[in-house]
Amino acid sequence: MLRKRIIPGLLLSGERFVKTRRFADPIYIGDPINTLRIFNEKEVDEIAIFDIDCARDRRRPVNLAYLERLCSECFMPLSYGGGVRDIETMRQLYRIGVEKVVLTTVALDDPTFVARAVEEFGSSSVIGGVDFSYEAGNVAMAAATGGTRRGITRAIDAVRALVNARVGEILLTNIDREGMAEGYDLAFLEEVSAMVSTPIIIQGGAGSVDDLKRALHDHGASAAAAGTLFVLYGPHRAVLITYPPTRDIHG
Amino acid sequence: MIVIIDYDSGNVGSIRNMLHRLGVRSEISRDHKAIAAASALILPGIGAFDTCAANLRKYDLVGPIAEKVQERGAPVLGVCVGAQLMLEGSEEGVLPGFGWFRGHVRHFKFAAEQNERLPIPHMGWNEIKVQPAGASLFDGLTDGASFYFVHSYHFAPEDPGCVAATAYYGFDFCAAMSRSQIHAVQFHPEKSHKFGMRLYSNFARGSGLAS
Repeated sequence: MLRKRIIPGLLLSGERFVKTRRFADPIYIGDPINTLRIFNEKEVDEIAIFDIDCARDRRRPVNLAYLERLCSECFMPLSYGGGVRDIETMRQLYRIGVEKVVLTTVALDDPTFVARAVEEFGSSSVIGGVDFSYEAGNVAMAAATGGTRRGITRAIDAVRALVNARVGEILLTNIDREGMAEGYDLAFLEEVSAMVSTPIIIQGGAGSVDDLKRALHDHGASAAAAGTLFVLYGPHRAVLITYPPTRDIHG
Repeated sequence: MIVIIDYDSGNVGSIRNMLHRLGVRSEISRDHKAIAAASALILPGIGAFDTCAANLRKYDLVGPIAEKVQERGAPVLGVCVGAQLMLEGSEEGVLPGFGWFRGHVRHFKFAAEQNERLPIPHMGWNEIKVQPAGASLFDGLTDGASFYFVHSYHFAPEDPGCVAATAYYGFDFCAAMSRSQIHAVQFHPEKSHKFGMRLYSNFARGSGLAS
């Protein structure tokens, strides 16, 4: 039977891996090639790479040449997100070895784009991303452009639009929890998983293996993504690449 | 030399990367001469069945591939939709496949009384059960090997004798087919680290290439 997935989510800035908190204050984690080699040896279920510079800067093209080098180190499924807003870039990403492309900002700015991408590449190759934060009235609101444009629409409506566009998975990222290691937004995860049958990847806030297990076993996530938990260690946030053994998650 | 068929429909880079890591020479190409000269072919494929089938036609590849495999007996490995194309057709589309395996590609349908809610696509790591037809392709992979799957449709071959491996997702479905030198895998060995390396290595050795 299908095993639920644990996904290191890695943030690319230029040609370096960094880690942020609440989508801000990046600290240097390491050379991407080395980091990916370590995750390869640990036989991780899947990797997700997000280019945070491309997400924030519309004029910055996706760094295909560098991503191609990273892909050559990934013998596990790889997702990419950050600054993708046209079919041709998606085609290039799949060609160099990316399995799944995450569409976040473009899904909010161009409502027909996601359905077109799904039509072209299939549901399985497209992840719909929803970055969200709690705005006035404590409502989960979708954000765009790497979290720099907040309160675009209700996050739950953004999820519905992605489901209607037939994405293969939905990636939920609570911006307020990102990098804080205080646990996932299980309430929102549960609200979404009760509403849709599309597999959900939860991201933002994992601080322990128990956080991963709770999201996967009790709150309806198909996959749990984490950054801090797998790249930083201890209160001083020292860099340490880790990955839990399968038996710790699945019993 | 293994030729990985390039028809704008596959994760050709991932496959080349893994073969490279294994020390197997490969080339990404849609050139008819390269196909004719290859010692084995890999037919990748992601996306919709008809999109892939149409792209094969767009690049005039159906004839050269069929000739290479059917007339000249070249070893071939289909991956994901590239593997589905080896059946006669798919519920997902209207275009025909190569028909090297009798049967069609079907959408996942679960019995109504089933309580568990199984998301489609079937996506993630799943354990396989190797069947007799898979003895060579899955050599060394009979004990708890897991592979990475991403698909909404599954092989439904008519001949149970060609089933090389099954996996369980609501029911046991056919995850791999083998018939003489023709092999089809629904999962992505190029994304299944050590298990996938072993499978590509088995395919390369079975095709007379060092690995």
